[in-house]
Amino acid sequence: MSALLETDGVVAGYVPDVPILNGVSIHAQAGEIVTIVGPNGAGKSTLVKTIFGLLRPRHGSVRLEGAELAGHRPNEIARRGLGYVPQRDNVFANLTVRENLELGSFDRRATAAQIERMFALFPRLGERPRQRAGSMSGGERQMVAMARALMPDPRILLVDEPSAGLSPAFVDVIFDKLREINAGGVTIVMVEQNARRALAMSDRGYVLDLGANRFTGTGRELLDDPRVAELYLGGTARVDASAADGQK
Amino acid sequence: MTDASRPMLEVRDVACSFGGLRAVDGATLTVEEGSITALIGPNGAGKTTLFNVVTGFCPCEGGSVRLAGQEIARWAPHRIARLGMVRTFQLTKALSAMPVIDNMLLAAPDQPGERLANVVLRPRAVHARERAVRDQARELLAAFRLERHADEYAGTLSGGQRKLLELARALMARPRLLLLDEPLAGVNPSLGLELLQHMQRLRTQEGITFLFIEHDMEAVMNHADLVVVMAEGRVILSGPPRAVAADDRVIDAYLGGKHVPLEEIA
Repeated sequence: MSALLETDGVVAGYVPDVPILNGVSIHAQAGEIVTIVGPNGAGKSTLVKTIFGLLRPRHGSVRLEGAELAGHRPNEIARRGLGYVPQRDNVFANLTVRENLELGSFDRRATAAQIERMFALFPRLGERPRQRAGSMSGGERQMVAMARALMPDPRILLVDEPSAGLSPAFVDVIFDKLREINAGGVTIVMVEQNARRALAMSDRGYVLDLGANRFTGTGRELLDDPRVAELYLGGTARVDASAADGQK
Repeated sequence: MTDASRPMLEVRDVACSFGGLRAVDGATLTVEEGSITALIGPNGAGKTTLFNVVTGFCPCEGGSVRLAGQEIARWAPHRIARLGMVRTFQLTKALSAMPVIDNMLLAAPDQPGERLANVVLRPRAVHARERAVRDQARELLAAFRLERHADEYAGTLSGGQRKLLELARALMARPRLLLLDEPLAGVNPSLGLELLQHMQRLRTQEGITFLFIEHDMEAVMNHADLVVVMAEGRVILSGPPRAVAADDRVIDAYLGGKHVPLEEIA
């Protein structure tokens, strides 16, 4: 089975001659949840931005069902079925919830129905369609950003750190929503620092370091791999360390 | 923490509102000298706004803020920072068009080279201080694994790296009390653990007091001496981590006991 989304040896960066990605290859099968983890500055967000066309790869390719996406603009890539939820500044703060969602729509005739669908998925947004997104709490904004990205009914959702800055209760909610969205047939590629939680709900994961693939496997395999735990998940001895701290 | 601890920060009944919303509504809390105190609460509870009020970034409507006994309510932010209360921001404020190392050097206080007369009349003092500041900056950058990027523009750092730069830069200012706004959000867990250990070390070795906002409960429970809980602009509870974690209000409103419907979470 060929992959729905695939990157092959992608090299990309922001400054000439300073690549952030040094040849990254990942793929996602239809229906999967794929999580990308790694240290700060590993290139995780850059990879997602490159897939979405915000950066043009200097080498390598990005393919959707075998068709090349590299070199296409984000609006074209969105039309082909990719949605993107950026890490921060991901809502139009001065616009209302409804206006944010309207901006996500491609087909004006479908807008009203799609908004209703999003309000069903996120009842909290349905209760306050006229509230300005900028006045909402972090968790609610994340919902607005996700709903906006889902408006055109994408096949793949790219999500950059959905849980960062959210209270524990909202982290649960956002991860539950991602599962629900995935169950509805949307393939999810997410970057997360809450690596244990994210990998636990993922079919597969990739560990990036210094702009290159370091480890890959099922979510479970990565969680159980002592090298991955030591280097990227905060160590296996975390429970012991906290017990020792409790003694002071 | 010694028994003879005295309050480093005393906040009494402060309030702050914007756009008709009373984001902080009579909050009261105390941070003991040499402690690591965590501030938790649902998104929108007013935690960041409280930081803004005590550090002078938001107007303080009534109440009092004392730093080591000194009343500082309504002081300008730079005066508060000079008195020893330094903060980081949730949305980082790196100077992107400046190299990482310069972001660091800029934060160091007491640089004789800031005055032209010193440059001319006391060149050795200027150089000595600059060398010391630069060494300190390199050390801190190494501690946060940013030394590789010292000469790159801060704008090229990733989101998580900017958070680390923010923290390193705050430490350059030699604070007595450091306020951290979600230091772990977006930071890789392995590095996050090192960061927490670094915080413990700074407290023990340099006597720095910490007040930090954080949603990572593992970090809060294992590294804070005292946990302060805010909801709807007020402090509703404070106590040792275990007591707070066992409180029903915290479990329901914040930790999201699975039986709690979403609608009840503010």
